[in-house]
Amino acid sequence: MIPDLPLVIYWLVTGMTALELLTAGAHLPTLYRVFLTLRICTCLAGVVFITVCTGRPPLFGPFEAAIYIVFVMGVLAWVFQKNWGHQTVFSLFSSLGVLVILLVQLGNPMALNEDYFMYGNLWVNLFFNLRLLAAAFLAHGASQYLGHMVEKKPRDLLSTGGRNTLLVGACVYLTSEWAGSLWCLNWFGDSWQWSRGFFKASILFLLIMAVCHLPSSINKNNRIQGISGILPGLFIIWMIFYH
Amino acid sequence: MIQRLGSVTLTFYTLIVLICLMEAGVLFSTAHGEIFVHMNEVQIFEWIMATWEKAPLPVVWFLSLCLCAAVLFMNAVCCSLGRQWSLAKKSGLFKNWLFFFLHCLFIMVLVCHGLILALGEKQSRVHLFPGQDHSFGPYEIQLADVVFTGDPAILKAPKKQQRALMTRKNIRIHENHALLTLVKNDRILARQKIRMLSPLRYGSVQVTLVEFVIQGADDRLGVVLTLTDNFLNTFFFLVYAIMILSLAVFTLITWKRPSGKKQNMPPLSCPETKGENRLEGRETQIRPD
Repeated sequence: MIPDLPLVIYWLVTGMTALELLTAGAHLPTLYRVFLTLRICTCLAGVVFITVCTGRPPLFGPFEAAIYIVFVMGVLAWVFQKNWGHQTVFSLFSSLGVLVILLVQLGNPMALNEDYFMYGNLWVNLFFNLRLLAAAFLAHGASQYLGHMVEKKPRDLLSTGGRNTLLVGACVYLTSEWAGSLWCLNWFGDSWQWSRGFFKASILFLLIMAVCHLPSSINKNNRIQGISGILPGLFIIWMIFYH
Repeated sequence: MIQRLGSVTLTFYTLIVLICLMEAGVLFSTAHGEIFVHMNEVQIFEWIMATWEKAPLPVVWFLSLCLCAAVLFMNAVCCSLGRQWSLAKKSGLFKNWLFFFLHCLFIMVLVCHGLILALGEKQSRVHLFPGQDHSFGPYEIQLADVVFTGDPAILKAPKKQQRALMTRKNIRIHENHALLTLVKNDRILARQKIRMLSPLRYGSVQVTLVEFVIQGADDRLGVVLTLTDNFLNTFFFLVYAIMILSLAVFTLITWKRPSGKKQNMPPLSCPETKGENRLEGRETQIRPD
């Protein structure tokens, strides 16, 4: 049973997200909230399962990363809508984003990662886990920016949420990189090394910085600003699942 | 001039070029993997000299990257000292001072990144066996003993298989160690058991245990070490941590609450100032967050 449990959790979460998307599209906020809550609870069960079985938090890999990111995105969506009321466009994009994250995992083995002796180290755990957390924040922010872009009567609710989420995501991401640097220092003797991983991590940081430094000529265009707000979320998801 | 050099427009386009150069780095590291491995093992000037003759393109790429980072550095300095400083002084608001401070910390992190690359001493992949010693600048590293409690077959396995065998159960990270002595001018400076992920640190010197090895017909157990001497590491981590903390505080104190009105997206991080973007010949207002 236990080896199949990740697959069961994966399909349960995917099914609930599909229902969530349908109810959001059909303007059924109460039902949407029920499915969102169920999705969060199932993901939480998945996260507890990972933690209990491996003795560490979720770190990476198709199953661990997807369930953890989807869990945090669910919590963020729940909190956001609890504070500001049901936002149909945001709900649609958030659920769609989660569904895409889950569906691109199709075909990948749904299992726990193989153990490695370094997984007992604090900095290693912080580096990987906070990276997933940052991905969830940035992806949540991307849904808010996307929602704002296509809203018929744009208000500042989603864009303000996107701005706040992006900055929190940046803090979490930098903390993860800081822990990663310490790991690198203790492992290789250098605080950072030239590698594909380093270049990709730098691109993400530079993307976040670029969004924060849009020149006024671009800043006035909601569409361009929206797209730039989406890019960090898209890039980190790609980086985590296709590294 | 300082206003032009510190403009947000210059920041933005420099960042875009840097992103492109990093993308090129991803491609280069795939195509010229061994060149990048070498880049990590020697000091950067040494790497430039050695690589220029056989593969000039990665060197040109690296120099472009440095140039772009230098432009970003200059831009950050001009923006901070030319605009954010006067704005913070004029308004006296904590968030503007914090914004200025945040940029100063970023400049320091950028400088540390560059200097760590260029300064200090480094020797990579030094193989040592019990009873052997090795010179590192004015220091001498003596290896007295190596203890590895796991199955030695793990160390003999090919690298790809090794990864699967090195579980927490098989490799007891706290039990495996090497007993090292750091000596300078016949004076013992430090004597310590070092473990993987737990190096010996003495001032700016760091002796890092990269891996355990088994060599020879008699299965002699030894270690692979990386020796570094860089006074900036501690400072770099401290400044980096303060920068993250400042960003967190900045995010908290500028946390935006929506008004519910129709509005353009709020800018993310620039404080209120008028007259930005004179390069484009128009006045722009960047609102505080």
